[in-house]
Amino acid sequence: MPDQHETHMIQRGRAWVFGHNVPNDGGIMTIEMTRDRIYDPPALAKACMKNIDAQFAESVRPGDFLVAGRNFGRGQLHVQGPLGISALGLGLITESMSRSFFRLSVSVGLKMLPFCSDVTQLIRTNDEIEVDFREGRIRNLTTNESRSFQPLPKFLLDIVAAGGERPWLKTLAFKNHPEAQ
Amino acid sequence: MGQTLIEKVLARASGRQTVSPGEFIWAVPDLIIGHDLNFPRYRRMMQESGFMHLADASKVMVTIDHTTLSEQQSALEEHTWIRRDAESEKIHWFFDVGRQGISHNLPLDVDAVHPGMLVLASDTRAPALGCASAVSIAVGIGLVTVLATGKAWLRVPETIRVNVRGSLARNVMSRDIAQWIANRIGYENGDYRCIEFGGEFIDNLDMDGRHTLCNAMVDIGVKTAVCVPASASHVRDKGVSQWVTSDANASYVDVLDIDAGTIGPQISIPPDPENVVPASQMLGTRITHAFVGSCIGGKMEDMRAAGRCLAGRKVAPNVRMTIIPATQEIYKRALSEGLIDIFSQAGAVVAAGICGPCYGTFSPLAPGDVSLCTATRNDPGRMGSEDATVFIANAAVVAASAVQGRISMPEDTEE
Repeated sequence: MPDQHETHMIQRGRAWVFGHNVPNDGGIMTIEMTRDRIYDPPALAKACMKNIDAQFAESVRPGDFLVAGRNFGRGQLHVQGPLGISALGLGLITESMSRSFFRLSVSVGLKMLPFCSDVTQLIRTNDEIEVDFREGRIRNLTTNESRSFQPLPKFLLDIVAAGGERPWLKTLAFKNHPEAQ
Repeated sequence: MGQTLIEKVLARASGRQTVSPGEFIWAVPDLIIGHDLNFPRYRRMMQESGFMHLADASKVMVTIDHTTLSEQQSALEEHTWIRRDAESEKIHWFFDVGRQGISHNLPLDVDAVHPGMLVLASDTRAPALGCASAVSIAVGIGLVTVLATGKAWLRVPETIRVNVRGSLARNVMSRDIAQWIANRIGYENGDYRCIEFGGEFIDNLDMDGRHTLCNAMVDIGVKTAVCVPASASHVRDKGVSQWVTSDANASYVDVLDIDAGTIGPQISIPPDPENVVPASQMLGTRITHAFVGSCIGGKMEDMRAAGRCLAGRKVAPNVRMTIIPATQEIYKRALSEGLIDIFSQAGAVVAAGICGPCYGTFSPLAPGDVSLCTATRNDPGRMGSEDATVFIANAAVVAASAVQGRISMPEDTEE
């Protein structure tokens, strides 16, 4: 399984940079999606970051990166925000992330580097970047700068690489009781 | 370098000598709490993932506190599901309808939470159990992994130490101190941190007051909050419980010193509970609904305060008042102290052991309603209609205001 990570866990794409304190409800995800308990990935993809940048969902491509400052995803423990980012196929890089958003992002299997101090100084919107989630290394191909940050620990990388907490549990159950599958 | 209380608890739970802020660990909890809204869903998710049984049913507590009085068939089917699961899995603590209480209060009634424990729960207000010098953390859907594997991944938080001294001013309750401190710390500083309460005020504070302080910190995004034990004699040595407190040379990200005596009654203005103003600024505001209850405002201190303000008086004709002790046990104590009689004579409706209007059920709000209450939160729609207004205050202010029909101080009723 670790071998699979190497290919999965390196990603190259364009950066989309936002500031500090982007809230979960009403920022990363429109409040209607949470209120109406929408879990449909295409619907959540369309609404992702819409309150801040109405063109965001149409502009990004799978493999791109959402980059943000401190306190990303503040607010309630609502899973629609992380699901929207995941549905767009984006990697996530933040200076810091609220605890509720971080826990949910691991649960849904978002590839991320959540604790990268001052990373918004390193990257501008439209920069081409390459991120090694396993090593915590960010290469800005546009500016030729490179920096390393704290990666997720291996056991969280395993959960993320499996596609989130529930698929990961399935692999664990299979390991424990192969006959049950 | 010394360790804080939470660092010591997380080190023990992860089988290490020490842990440091920012570290990721797998921790084994001592108590795992779910309720009717999440437990059956999480159990089915577990089963779909191939984990048929609870990793350790002896640590699990489940209560039916949200949909307890529901007439919805879907809710009743979930109750049946939980009942069967509790029996077949031999869940250690199951509180069925009639014995239920709010999941954040019930563990205290049954003496299930002790100093030094690690408690993991699905519900956001889990940190309230820091009152018992335990570390209690809300993991939401992460509880699926906890129920299936008996452990959870956690990131060790930084700790803010809050030293509180002084004593309560007139008409002030623990809720006022709690909301004032939450406002003072704020979301920017509270996020991802542990708030550790200590000092002479905390040493003299009873379990109800400690529970209120820890509970209110939830709304500024904390990982958890904890009151250090007052002294070794306060700690009962049983099970995993042990004398555990922060070292004198422990490292804090910030230290606040607060004089409780300088804080007056507070009112929380929508849409956030920590959005407080001195209650004096809101005097005279007309209300249509009053509620004393919820995990944070349905304890004995709240029942007694409401009783003092309602004794021999009537709820104003244009106000409907609901009072809900947080657990059946608190209800029974209120009954034996004559408080339930006072509430009934005053014209309040009484239920027991449910979230009630704080979850938008059992006497929720209609459009145009103005509620003054002890609920946890005041965001629009939280207690029913999005077109209702919710103000939060301490139980004495709520009860006094219910009598007057407008926001009033308790002394206004003492004529």
